[in-house]
Amino acid sequence: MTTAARQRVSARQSQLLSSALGYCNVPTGIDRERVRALGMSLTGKRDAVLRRLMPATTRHFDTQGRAGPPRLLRLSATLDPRATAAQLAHAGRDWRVPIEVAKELFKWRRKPGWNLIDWQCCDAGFVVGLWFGSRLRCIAFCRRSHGRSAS
Amino acid sequence: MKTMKTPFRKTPSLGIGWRPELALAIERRNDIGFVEVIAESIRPGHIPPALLALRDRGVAVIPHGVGLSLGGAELPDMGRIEHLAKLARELDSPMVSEHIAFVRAGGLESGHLLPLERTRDQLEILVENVNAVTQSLTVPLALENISALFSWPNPEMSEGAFLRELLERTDTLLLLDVANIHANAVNTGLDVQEFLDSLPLDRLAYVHVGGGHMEHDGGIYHDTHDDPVPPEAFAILESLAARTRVPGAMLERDAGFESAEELHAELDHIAAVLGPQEVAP
Repeated sequence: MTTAARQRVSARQSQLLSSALGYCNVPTGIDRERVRALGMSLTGKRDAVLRRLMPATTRHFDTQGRAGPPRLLRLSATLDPRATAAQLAHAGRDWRVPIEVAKELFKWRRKPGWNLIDWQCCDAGFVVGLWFGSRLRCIAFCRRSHGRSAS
Repeated sequence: MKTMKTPFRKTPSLGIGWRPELALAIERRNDIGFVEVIAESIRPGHIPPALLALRDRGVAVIPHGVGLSLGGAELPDMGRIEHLAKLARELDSPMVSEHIAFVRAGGLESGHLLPLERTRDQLEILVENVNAVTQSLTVPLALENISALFSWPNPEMSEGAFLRELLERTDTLLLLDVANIHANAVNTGLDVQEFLDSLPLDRLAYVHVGGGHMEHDGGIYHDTHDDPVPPEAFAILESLAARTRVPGAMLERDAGFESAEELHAELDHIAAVLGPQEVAP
């Protein structure tokens, strides 16, 4: 039974991560030169970024727009990670971070304890995550400043 | 149940999450009975001297894992389990702890503790994974309830029933985070008192108390560990203490270390709820 259960649970967990959270996580360190080459930068305070994105991610699941506590109403097989920004914008939440935010976030990487930045690109920009110890403390979406495709 | 070399022998014990920024404050406070350290932040053979000094002073040190992904569809990584076991040996820990959560799936790391579906499928996997971990440990494992920003649809069990069956079938202990209970009350509509009533409190190992904040317009509570502890979390601690003897309770603070007064006031508040405490010799 467990093998079958593992397959079922794996499918649902993977779907969750790939549709939303997986969008902002790639197990590679950030490459400053590469980011600069992509024309990216960030601005803003990390707390503000955290406040913006986490609720938006939650609302992302509330596809029925129901009031009350956020619920994962369904795992959305139809969601394309690359379309996440547009879907969040459609949900009424401007979660995009002004382009200068990146520099501030990158600075945090050098502060004691802030030990990793993960990132993932998509056509619209990239998502960056700041980690403190083993906890993700901040994630932000950074809009691409010009139209080069992600590599 | 494995023999528990508890740091909480006769009287409740006050604790705090050990962070390098807090090392001096912890060292100077003589009523700290135990500390918890994030297991993934230290390495066997390279334990920070300040932590070893606490251990040698008789303060219990509990490695607290965040990366085992006990609820993941894959068996926990043996390297991570061994890391935890080695730390427990080196720190002479009375127990180790981890979260009831998953953190990775399909080759992706979430970087976050994510809630599990409360289904039979999930419970079977969780039990098997936890048993795989405890087989490699020589000390008891305590499992923590997490805070969630969402819940999965169509649960087959209540949170309390899920937790009770998990702990009984794996012979593990309960690490109860009262701030996470508050977070889930706000974010997912959890009934706090009903939840407390449903818990197997005879397995309570210790309690987490941490800070967080409400998002102003979204009705979302963030368990940040860098804000003051909300009154609601203290109230849940008090409700718990009214139900059972709390063996130990600790403050979690990961950032926002500027105000020593605030830190000590929160520790004092926890201590007051616990009552007279055991002090490390």
